[in-house]
Amino acid sequence: MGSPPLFFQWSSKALPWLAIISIIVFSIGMVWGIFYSPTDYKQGDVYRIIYIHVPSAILGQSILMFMAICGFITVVWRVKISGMLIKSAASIGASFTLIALITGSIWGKPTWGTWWVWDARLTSTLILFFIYTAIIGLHSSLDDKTKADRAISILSLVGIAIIPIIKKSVDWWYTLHQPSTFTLSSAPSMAPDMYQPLLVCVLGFYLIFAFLLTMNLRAEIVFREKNKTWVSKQYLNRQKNDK
Amino acid sequence: MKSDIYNWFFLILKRDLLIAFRRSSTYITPLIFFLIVVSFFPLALSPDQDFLRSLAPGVIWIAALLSSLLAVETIFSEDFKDGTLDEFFVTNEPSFVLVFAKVLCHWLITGLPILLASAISSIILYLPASSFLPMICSLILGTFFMSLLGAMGAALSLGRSAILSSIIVLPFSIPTLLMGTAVVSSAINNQDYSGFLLIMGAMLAIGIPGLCLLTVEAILLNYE
Amino acid sequence: MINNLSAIIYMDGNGLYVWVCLLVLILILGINIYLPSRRLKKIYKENKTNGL
Repeated sequence: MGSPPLFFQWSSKALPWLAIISIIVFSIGMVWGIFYSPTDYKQGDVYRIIYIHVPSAILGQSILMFMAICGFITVVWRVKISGMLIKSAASIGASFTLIALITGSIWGKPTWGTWWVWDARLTSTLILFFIYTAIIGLHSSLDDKTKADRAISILSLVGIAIIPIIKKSVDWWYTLHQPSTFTLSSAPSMAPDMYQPLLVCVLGFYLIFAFLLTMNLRAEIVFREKNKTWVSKQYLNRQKNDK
Repeated sequence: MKSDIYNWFFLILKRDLLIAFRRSSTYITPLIFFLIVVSFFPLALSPDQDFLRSLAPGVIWIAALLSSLLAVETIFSEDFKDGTLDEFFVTNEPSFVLVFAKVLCHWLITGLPILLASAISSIILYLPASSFLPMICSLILGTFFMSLLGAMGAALSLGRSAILSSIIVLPFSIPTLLMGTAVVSSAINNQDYSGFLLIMGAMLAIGIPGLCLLTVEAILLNYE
Repeated sequence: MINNLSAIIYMDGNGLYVWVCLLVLILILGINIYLPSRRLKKIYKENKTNGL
């Protein structure tokens, strides 16, 4: 599995199953949350955005942790596929963080009255997004992709080390400057009826991440090794299967 | 042997200081850039005294971040281009010491102009005199951390544009910014600011070994 | 809740926000599915035209 061609063979068979399972769990979670969970007494039905916002934010942070672990493996053991994993995961992590930012902002409009508020969570999500763009930008600027993978590993390691410091300092900064006119409430306190669909949604999002990661990794592997014979054999196999 | 490492360290330090002092632009430009950035705020916003006083900690710190970031661009590029960096890595001396010596030299060259510029800016932005010393202390710690981060960013984007290295480094410098402005703001309000200085010191304590090692790794990337 | 479909879509006037969020989610996930598969197919096509 550690070698790119083997992973590609394995993933060609596993991908349809992964897609089906992830879409099923994801849909169950979303339908349960958006349609069947009880109405919050404070925020009404708008709180249902939580089933999109919170899993995206959780995924955004977990993906950076995943990238840091892969980065460590890449730098220490020079494994090629873990380097490709970082690159494949980066755009997905940035997408989830962007979803968290946009949905957080949209959630803010009916509940707080403004499209954006510099509160601790949204601000640290914005900084997380900047870290993702830094990683993606660095990778795309380097032509030698193996070297780019290692550069990305270093950056993700620094990122994961500094994320707790950023969160703590942004939390502190926000409590210092919190407007005294109104306190912004975080997510509504959760009844079990609301909490269970959230857990299913988070699981669904993780499965979707695995699915998207596999797709990205397959494209990345074929791109890097496109001059090798196993890639053209793969294409001939596909043509045979298509016929 | 211990003395060998010290000899190596001072050799690199002396060499870089000498090269930097030969060109006066190395230590004048951070100063001027700082003052230009600081001047833009009253020009773009308002020259009102109370307004500028409320802005002063943030403006000084933003200017310090940008100046030290832009000044650190050339820390490795010239040695890389003319092959001296290869020589340094071919010897058996520890490369961590090389990076630390270069960062220290860079900080000595650009940190002092930035401190001078911040002193001038505190006057033109009407910063209360009581917060002058805390501001200098926080800037000393903060600019050193910025030099470390900037060196790593310069090593990662060796040969590429400065703006790429800015994108890499600036998100990671946010804790320094927050803590630094906290020091100055709490000094203005006569509150205790030592906690923030301790946090900045702790970041330096972890940052010096960690970032220097990662910078060595990043430079070695260019020699694959 | 599911009894009243119009209540769900309207959500006391805030329904637009929830549905726009869902739309954003589907859109961005869709882009993340579409782009790699297009990249894969493009490489296959390039290989074919290069006669590998």
